[in-house]
Amino acid sequence: MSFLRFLIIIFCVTYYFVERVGLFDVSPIPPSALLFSIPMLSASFLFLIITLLSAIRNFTTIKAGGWFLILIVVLLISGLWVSYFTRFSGEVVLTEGQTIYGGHNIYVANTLYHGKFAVHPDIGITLEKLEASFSADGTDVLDLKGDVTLIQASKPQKKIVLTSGLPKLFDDTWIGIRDFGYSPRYVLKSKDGSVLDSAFMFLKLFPPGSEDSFRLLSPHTYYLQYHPSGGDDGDESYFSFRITRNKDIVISKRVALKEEISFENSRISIDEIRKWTVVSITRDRGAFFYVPALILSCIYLISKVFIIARKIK
Amino acid sequence: MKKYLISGAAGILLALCISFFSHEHSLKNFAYFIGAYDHEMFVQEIEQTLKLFNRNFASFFNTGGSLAGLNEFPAANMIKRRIFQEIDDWRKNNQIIVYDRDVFELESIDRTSPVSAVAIAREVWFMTIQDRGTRKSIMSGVKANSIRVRYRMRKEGDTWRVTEYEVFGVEDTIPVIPKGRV
Repeated sequence: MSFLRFLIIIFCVTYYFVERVGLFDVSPIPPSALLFSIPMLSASFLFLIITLLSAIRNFTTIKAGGWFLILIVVLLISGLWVSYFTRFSGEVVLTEGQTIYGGHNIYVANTLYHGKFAVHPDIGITLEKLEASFSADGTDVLDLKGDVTLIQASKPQKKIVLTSGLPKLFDDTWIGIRDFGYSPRYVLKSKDGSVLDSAFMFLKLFPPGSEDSFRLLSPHTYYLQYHPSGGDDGDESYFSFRITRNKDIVISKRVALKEEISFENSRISIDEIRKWTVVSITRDRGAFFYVPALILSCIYLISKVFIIARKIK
Repeated sequence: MKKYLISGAAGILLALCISFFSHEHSLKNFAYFIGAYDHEMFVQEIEQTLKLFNRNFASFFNTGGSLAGLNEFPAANMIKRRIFQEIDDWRKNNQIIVYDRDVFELESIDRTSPVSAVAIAREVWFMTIQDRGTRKSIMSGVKANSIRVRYRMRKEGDTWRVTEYEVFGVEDTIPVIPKGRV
């Protein structure tokens, strides 16, 4: 039995490693998808069965430490399976001033995991303000602090602060923030100055010098870079704006906030810039099993180390 | 001890087999992972794809939107849409924009995964706007458009396709592709 269990452990470790590096796939598989993959779930189930059969067979000879290990295995594997069926997790990009409702289908597609019996969290989140601290050269975000309003049905609104550290637990939902960027608001006008369109665009313009693009209904592509600290001469913040129409560069220039660019029969400007972050929302009933299992594992390991140390003395 | 060694080896072998047989083109992906693929053939494929792309690109504009060659045009639908949207804009003014390629030099080709690649090219296009009926130029002279283009490409089956292209000025520094923008 123990050889079989050893085989399963080696199988799981190898399979995890092979898929995480993408040895046979076009890209690595994310850890959560890997844990909930059929080979991992099957292996864990087989491991649980073997462990229980072994426990029944050696019922009278197992010592306290053995039962402790069996309990850890049962909790860990139960946690994995309960997570598989009930876990909800997803990420959504949120710009300052924007409100999202967790019950709606607003999640970034490849971040969404919805177990068969999972329920969308009935929670609203408004990102009121986002503050970031940067590294000395301004190219890395060290910390994020988001002032957030939580909106829950039949409960008063709650003001909370989220940081880029560990996610926070509210009722049964973990909420966290990570990543940072800028959302400029463009204003597109006709030649005579009437506003045709205006919206915030979530773009990857951080760190300064990064370029991202957006498209509207016309065949134009609008490329943007944002330099919040200005240029080398330390002047005001500016945008590098380039407009192309297929392979023709229509205009390429440096513009300030609210400065209009005239091109063809239109005018465009960036009238406002806000910050965005990625909010992760997770609800996982499996945590009731695997969190105690992890705590018990730590206790078990510490006690083992303690016993070995005493024997050596 | 021997039994544990056999168990460990069996576990590793089983994991490798399951991973290998659960993905499409596992052998090709593995060959890419260890760098054992025909780089010259890959470069040739990219060059041919971009030549075909640019030939069709010009021909769509120059014919005022003829659909000949649309099926073999190695581009994502959003690119096709952008091209025909512009042709339609010119058509509304009874005009045609004519693209004439003068220079096409590949600066770099990078394979970013077994099924994706990024190529940067230096290009010069002469452009004129013509009357749709008479095909006479309504511009004074010809616009020489010197650009650098970053093509993002994806392999579908055995065919490479342009999924996105970005146009830069000749002197522009080409920024890194933002994460998540494939």
